[in-house]
Amino acid sequence: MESGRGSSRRTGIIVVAVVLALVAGGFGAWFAFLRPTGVQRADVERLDKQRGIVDSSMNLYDPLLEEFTARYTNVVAEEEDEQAKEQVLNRESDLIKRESAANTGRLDAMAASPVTQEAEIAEAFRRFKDQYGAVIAYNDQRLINTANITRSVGGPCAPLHKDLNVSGGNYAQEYVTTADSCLLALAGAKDKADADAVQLLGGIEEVIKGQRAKQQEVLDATDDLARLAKRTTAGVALLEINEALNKVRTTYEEAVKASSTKLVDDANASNAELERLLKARLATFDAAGQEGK
Amino acid sequence: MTIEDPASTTAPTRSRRRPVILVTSIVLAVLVIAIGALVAVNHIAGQQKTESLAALKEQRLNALGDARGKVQPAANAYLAAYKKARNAPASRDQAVQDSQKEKDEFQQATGNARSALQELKSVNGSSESAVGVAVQQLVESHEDYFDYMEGLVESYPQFEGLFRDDDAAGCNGLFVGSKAATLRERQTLLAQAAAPCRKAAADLKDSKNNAYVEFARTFDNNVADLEEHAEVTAKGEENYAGFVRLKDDLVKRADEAEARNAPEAEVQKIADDAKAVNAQIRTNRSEFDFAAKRYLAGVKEMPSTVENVFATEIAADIKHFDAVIPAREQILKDTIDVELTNK
Repeated sequence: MESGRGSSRRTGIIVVAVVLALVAGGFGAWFAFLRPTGVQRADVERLDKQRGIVDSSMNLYDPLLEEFTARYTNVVAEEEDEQAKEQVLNRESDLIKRESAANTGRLDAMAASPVTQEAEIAEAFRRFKDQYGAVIAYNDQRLINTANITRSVGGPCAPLHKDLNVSGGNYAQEYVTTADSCLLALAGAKDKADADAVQLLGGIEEVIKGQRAKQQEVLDATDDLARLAKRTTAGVALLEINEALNKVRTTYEEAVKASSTKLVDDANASNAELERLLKARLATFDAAGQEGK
Repeated sequence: MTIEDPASTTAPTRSRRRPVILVTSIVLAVLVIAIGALVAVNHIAGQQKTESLAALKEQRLNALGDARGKVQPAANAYLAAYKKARNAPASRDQAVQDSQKEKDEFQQATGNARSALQELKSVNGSSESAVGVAVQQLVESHEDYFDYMEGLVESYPQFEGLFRDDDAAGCNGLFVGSKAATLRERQTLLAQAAAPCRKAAADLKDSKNNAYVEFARTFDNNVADLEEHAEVTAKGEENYAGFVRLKDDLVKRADEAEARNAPEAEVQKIADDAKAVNAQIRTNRSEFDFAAKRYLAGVKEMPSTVENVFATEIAADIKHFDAVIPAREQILKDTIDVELTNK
């Protein structure tokens, strides 16, 4: 009697345990079903959408950099307070730095997709990532170039052609003094600037140095007649300064346009190629779906 | 080693094994229930997230777009109402009162837009996720836009009043050319007008709207330049009287020297003095011309500096927002789509 009740209870417990184990196994199987291995159609769709997002995100750089230039140019030209200049510089450049961080994050998120591991996609994605990474880096560099050019050319160099009285008695002295601080600012502006911007700054430097030398000659002249002669030569040279500066600027703008056009073209090409491959990959799922039916 | 008695061991073994089985089954049951609960919670949370993302995309973004779209017309209505009241004519205080309805409506519009933005912000807390980043960027662009429009409205009476006759700023007092008989008088009148005018410009520098701020910086500098040029020209005019005296004196000395047939050295001295005076006159003349030219140019440019604030600067800023905000919206929608794919 006692032993019989014990054994039936034990049987009951075992049955319960087995049922529970089966239920647990069922959950396990369900899990396995929920997380199928291998690339899914949704993965490809996601990657394609992420691709589109990265591509359209690039369009924001132009308005953001224009905004940066406008804000910073005004404060550099019109505000004496260094703190105010720093504040505008920090706020506006921070905006673009965070833009780039977000875009880099989007590229990294794409890299995490299993689709990018597939042989036929991997190479196209690598190119896409490189090209768009280059566009991001280029815009980060544009920010530095613009800030450096604005700070120097729009700052200590601005009075040279704006505020000095050419026919004034101490024009030569004022020019030399102003040119010295301008040249100092131009030299500093080369720091972290790229080759194109360094060339621009160097070109302006040459022009200003030439003018400064002529004005120094006026100062160094010992007698009135010589001074008058030097002053006339310097005055004539001054007439050519705008042309010289314009030439430097045009060269720079052309170089910038050429390099940015190439970058954008390369990026667009890598984008089109990746898009083509992803669409083709999606088509393989559609074909498999048709066969299944 | 003990020798066990088979009869006596069966019962204790069974009673010892029974709790083991019991404990095992309880542990197993708890585990199964926990897994089940986890899966359910996970599933529900996933579904909730999907739903909230879908709601974010479909409803909240649209609600924000609608609310945002009402801000600019409300700002325009306020600017027009204020200006109309001021032209009536009415004092600044009176015009502020007369345009109160439009101001309230504008504040209502920005209030609604800001709370629509808050709604959207509350959906996605994490700034780590792709959606979080896109929301953050969208939120910042909107906040900049709302600040800008609020600044545009709030500082408008200050800006609009700068050149009005009855305004404390009194910047139209800067146009003193015809009122002054001498350049010194012009300088004095200008300095009197410049003080409150530059004070008003300095106040405008604190605006939330950067178009006003940048205008105020430029304008303040322009007025400072005017003051400087006015001083140089006034001084030049005064110096000129001195030069006339010097010249008369020299002429007298020369005549006298000639009359008494003075020695060569004295005549030379007079000639040198005359040369020095001439040089001074030339310098004075050059500085005067430069300052006078700059002064006139400064006065002439002033109206267009003011006009450009609305015609060029604000138009460009609004164009900027019109380019950035829809792009951010689209990126957020696409980012949500990425999250919703495969769910």
